[in-house]
Amino acid sequence: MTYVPLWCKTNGSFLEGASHPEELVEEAQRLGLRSLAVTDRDGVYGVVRAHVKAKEIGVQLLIGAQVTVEDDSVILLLAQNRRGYASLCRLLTVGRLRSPKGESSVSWGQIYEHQDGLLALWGGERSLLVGETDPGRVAESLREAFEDRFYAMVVRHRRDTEVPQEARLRERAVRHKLPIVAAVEVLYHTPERRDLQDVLTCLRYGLTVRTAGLQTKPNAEHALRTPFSFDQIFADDPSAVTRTEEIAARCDFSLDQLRYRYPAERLPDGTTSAEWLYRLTMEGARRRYQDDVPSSVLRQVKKELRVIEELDYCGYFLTMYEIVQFCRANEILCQGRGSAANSAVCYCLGITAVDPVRMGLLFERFLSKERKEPPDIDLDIMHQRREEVIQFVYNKYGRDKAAMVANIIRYRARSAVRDVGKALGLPKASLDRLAKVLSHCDGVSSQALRHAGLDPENPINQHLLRLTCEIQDFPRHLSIHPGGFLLGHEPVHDIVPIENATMADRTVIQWDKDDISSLGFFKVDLLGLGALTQLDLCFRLLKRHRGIDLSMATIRKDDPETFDMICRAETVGVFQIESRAQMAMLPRLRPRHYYDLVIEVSIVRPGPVTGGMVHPYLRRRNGEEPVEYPHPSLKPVLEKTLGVPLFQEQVMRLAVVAADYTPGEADQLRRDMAAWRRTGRIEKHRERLISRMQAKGIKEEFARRVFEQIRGFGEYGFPESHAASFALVTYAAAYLLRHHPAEFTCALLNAQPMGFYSPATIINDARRRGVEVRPVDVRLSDWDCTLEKIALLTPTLSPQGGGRNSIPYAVRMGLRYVKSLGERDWKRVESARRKGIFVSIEDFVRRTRLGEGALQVLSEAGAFDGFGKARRAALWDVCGFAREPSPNLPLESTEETPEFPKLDEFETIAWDYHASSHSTGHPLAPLREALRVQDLPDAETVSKMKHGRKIRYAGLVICRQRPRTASGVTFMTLEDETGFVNLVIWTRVFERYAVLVKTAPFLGVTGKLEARDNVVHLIADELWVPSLKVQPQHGRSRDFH
Amino acid sequence: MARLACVDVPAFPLQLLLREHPDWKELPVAVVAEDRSNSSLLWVNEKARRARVLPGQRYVQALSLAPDLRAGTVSRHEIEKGVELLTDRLRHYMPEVEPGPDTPGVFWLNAQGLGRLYKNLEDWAGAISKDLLKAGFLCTIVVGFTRFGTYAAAKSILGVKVFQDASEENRVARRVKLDRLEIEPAVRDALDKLGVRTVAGFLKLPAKGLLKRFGVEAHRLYRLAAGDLWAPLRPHPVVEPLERQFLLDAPDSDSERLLYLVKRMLDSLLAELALKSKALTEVALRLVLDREGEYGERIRTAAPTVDSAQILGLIRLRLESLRLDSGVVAVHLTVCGTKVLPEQDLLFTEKPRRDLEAGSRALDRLRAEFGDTVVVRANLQNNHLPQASFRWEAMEKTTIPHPRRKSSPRLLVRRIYERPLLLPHRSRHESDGWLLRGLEQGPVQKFVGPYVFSGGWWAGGVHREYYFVNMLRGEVLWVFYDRKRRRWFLEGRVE
Repeated sequence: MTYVPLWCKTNGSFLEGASHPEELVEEAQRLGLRSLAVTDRDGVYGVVRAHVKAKEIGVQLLIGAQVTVEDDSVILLLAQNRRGYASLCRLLTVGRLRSPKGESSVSWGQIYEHQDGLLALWGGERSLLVGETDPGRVAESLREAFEDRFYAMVVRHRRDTEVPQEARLRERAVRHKLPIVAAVEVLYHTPERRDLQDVLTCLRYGLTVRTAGLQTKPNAEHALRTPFSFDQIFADDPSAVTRTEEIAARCDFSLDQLRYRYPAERLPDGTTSAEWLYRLTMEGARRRYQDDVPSSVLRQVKKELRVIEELDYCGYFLTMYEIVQFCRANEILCQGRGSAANSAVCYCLGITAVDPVRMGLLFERFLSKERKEPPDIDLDIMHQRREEVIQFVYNKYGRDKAAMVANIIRYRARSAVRDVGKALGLPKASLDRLAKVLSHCDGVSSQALRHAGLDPENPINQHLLRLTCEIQDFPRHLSIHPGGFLLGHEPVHDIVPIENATMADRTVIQWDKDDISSLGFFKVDLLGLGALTQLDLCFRLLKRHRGIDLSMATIRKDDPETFDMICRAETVGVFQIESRAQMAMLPRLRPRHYYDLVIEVSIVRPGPVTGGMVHPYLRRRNGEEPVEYPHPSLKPVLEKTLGVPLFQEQVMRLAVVAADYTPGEADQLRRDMAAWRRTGRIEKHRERLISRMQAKGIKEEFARRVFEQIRGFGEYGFPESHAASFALVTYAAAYLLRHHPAEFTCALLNAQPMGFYSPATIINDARRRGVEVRPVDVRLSDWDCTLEKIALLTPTLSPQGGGRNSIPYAVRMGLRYVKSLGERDWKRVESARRKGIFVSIEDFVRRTRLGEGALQVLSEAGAFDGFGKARRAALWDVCGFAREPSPNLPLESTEETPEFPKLDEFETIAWDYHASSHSTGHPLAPLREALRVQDLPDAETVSKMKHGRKIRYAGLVICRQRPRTASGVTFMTLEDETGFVNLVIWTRVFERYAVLVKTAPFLGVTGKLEARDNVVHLIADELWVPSLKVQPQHGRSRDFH
Repeated sequence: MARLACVDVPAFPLQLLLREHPDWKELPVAVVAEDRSNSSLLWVNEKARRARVLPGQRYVQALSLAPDLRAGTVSRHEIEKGVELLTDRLRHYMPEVEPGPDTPGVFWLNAQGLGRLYKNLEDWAGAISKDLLKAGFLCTIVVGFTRFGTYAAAKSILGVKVFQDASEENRVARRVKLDRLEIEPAVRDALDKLGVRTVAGFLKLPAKGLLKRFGVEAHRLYRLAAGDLWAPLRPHPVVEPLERQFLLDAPDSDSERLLYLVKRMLDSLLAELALKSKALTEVALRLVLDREGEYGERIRTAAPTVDSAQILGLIRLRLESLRLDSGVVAVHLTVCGTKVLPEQDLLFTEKPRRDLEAGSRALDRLRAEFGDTVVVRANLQNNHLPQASFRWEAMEKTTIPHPRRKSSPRLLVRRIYERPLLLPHRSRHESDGWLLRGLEQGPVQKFVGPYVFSGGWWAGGVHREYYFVNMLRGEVLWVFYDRKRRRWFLEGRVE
């Protein structure tokens, strides 16, 4: 005889279920069970993964949930059909939305109300049916609501406490005429997971295994049972076992029945979505091509529209169009990214800014009939105003039809070590030490334990090792996706339960993006991008101060001066090409056109780097080796990139052309690339790709390199369309930096936090470009940084020519940069200043009545320097004024200010950094003479030195990197008042000077110069702390990101 | 001028921690505020400093700098104990010792009148330094003239220093950097920002302005440093235990006579306690025997009392149960007391209808006669295993019972053995059935079970399969099979 396990909780029952959904389904099949129910606690978190696996191996999946009632009892509900599933999702949504995040409870009334299409199974130690108090009224009401869909559930886990409970249940079942069904509460697929379940329970209740006591289960009887064992345990009641199959037969719902429809737009004139999309696209095309739409574009647009209509995706495109229109109308800068840039329709609708026809981009990468998968349009929105767009979507579609996609936070090595160790009662200090020695992706090993000073032979450490491996990839808690929305034609809560997110006014569904993708649903991604905020702010500054009306569309194309600057790698603050690695690549790649930038942003990625594609490309580009193709058939695929595959699309096409993949298989390859680290699926392609390519006459070495690159793409690789969208922003930013450095710097400082460098580095770089940066001043500074006209006494500072454009501007630092000063403080300053200028510190204190802390930090930042008082004296004064008892009377300075030592230049800069993380002077400038005496050159001098020279150099550390692709090599960027020096530290040197490398803010290096292609690197042999009387202060460096 | 000495044990909690963990001496070590990963470091040793680990950093941050960093907390209680230890040690050199109230590790000693004991003050200070070093503490000792002067100097130098005149002390003190003194960190940092880094600079500030900006404590320090505030030495009082001792001329084994002796000693001790407004909570009796060493007894009362008859009654019960064959040669009696409410307050205290005190006295008598562990009650525990699901705990006094309002009907009672009884191996061929309790009870008639308990995997693990067993003679037993030990056990009986 067989049976159906009706009460199974996956690890989607957070910190309770101890098996992955797939493991439960696979084990059920192994045990010969035809069906299995997944009933997570107050949710359907695990059903999609279970569904995918069940479909794959032919197991019938019943979907339900264990629902918590407000009296803290539980009831099991199973969806009989689509209606039942919708009832379940609605009920869970009600329970979740009325409870704090992470909790759920419903009333009995709500359960009666949502009974349609559901089966109710009542039993288990937490149900009222087994309690000492007779649940007569509730039982009657449930009987009435669910009629013949209501069962008494006898559960047995070999516990003597269950005996009296079962006796009560059977007596009441007879009284209320309830059929009895047998069940075990399944928490794991195999008894070996019992230990992990105990640990999860401890984590849920904040206990340790030694103190958890009765909170943990008393035995390991919560695994999936074989039919024989299940029969044996219920040998006295075989009808209850048979009834499990009867129940399974009554449920015929599958997630495949979810007919997801995208919300239909309200269309004018009764036109269809397709007609409306056609009209908008054509209008857009005429606008894009100034009423002269090329026939190739027309052809492409019509082809795309046909596919879109056939697949019934018009609504989705119209939604994206509406969002973009909303952004335009509200002057919110946005731009489509990702594969959407492959679509001419997206380009014509203004969703993307890259002309795919002109660039020859592959539409099929975005959408294909064969794949029948919803397209993925990601929209980058200026980060400071993304919330407005999110609220627009909520308002337009309503909270019931729009919800954000979840991001399920899963256990990784470090979090696993900390949590499992905590549950085992290990000292926190040891766990911290162990977590520190683990990298983000490594598993826990005996060696790691040894490195952390833990004995791998100790039994408790062995438990730690075993359990941290088991818990990997288990869901820990639900978070929110950065910008993914699920929009539905019908209410979303009929498809998936919705719950509260931590952030106010946000709701989130119970599925993550992989679940959405597995079910083939549409997702709208609204992502925040700081670079767009920066561009927007810069355009506004240009219009306000110079009357120049620039936009991304009107910036001059292929400006040689901009490309000259890029070739010199003077790109601090320029989106995508500002990192140390990008800057090192620029002088070698020497971009001269927009498409070069597309390559530049794609080439410094783990994909091309680990695939060994970078150097061949550079050599071919510089004419150092001939452009050859491994096979003539690959020429059309690789021609654009000189025979070297750099983009994801090229890899897909390469698989089609060289390894005879169908487009569908190629797309599967792309998906497996993205998921290889998690599933290892990419390995399946290895032999197939290599052998097929060899069969076509392609060299094995090339085939292997292509495969390595595919693996690299799994880590991070750009599709061409994505790179093309980013390169537009890159070019615009570079253009603004070249021609309007003051506006660029001001905008960049106001868009912080964003980008690669700290404000201190941005300011130092701007000053080197001749931009005057003025310090904070309570009389003149706004909250944001502003531009101030420079008196024409200093005309040399102007980088521009004549006219209004020639007026030189300085950047005045905003009060937002004064540490711990809040916007509320600024409002008080602003309101007081509006009534009249401040004449003295006393006047400022009296009129603003800022707190003592704010006044102190303003003094330290030099914001009172304008009143002619030294900072220390100002600090003494404000402390006194702030403690005056009567705020309304004018403050009189009756006491004399004592004499304090004056700050020297070095101290002034140190105070600047301390109070505002930046300075308008460079910390090393006052020390230059002392450094010169020690024969330490500045960065500018170093950049002109010859290759191979052994030198000593000292600079401030602004960046530390140890990329996984660099085999343990560490890269650092040091800075002084004249520029940057890039440092390369080999592993053996790193090991010798690890503490200095990780911590020293000011570092001395002895090493050899490597100067090639205008790129200078200092290869470190020795590191040391420069011997100076004082150590310079600096802003925070960007470390090991 | 009066002479005064300041003993400074720098980073006192860190020194305590290192005494606790001598194996850490070669490693970077820090004292953390709490046992949490983001707790901040309070003190660090030189090896930690060399790895750039500094006080104020978070523990996790420090760990990235020094992976072999060892850290621990030092509780207020441990510090107090350490201060007590050092105070006692210093009393060997001068009875008048004042531990710094807010600065653990700083002590002031009267340095007057040592001329007859030591050749000079250097010798005296050197002896103290050596002695503390022997006890595992590094210290600095400065002998001078003023409290602030010696303190400031002790914080800025190492070893032993004796000032010969007050002006020299003043000169050194003014040069001392403020960050050496244990002043409130916020004040110290604020003064540092103003460029005020030495005592001399500090004294240049206007006193009123200082009071307004930095508060009373900074102002007090200012006045101390300026010599405007004189604070006399407040030596830590020596607490003498309340005890009596009586030496007998000849060994005596008569308990009545001994009791009479104890009564005389106890009466005088109770009178002494009463003078301090205290009542007795515990009495320790030590009888030194003629040949067999000594006998000790500790008797605690359920409530503080001054009733000598009650206490003597308890002592009598103990003495009567003793056989003092070799005779007692000395009797020691020590008492502990606690502050009690005045009688008037007790009169107003509401008393329950039940005489709990009488109950407690009865329990005292039981304990006195049969030992401290005789009066216990069961306390339910949060554990699955039958033996671990309750714990016997000592019952100090009687309380008003609070029965559960609604008790569930209990049809069967399980009585369990203190430890499960090992049952004989089951025979492979049981022709007469399983004779679990021998022939007397007959063979097993019926098994109900198994009910499984398994757990404790992190400590070896337990797996028991429990059964209720009906015997032929009607007895119902509760047995289990222990899978790990492969044996049957009798857990208890069902009634």
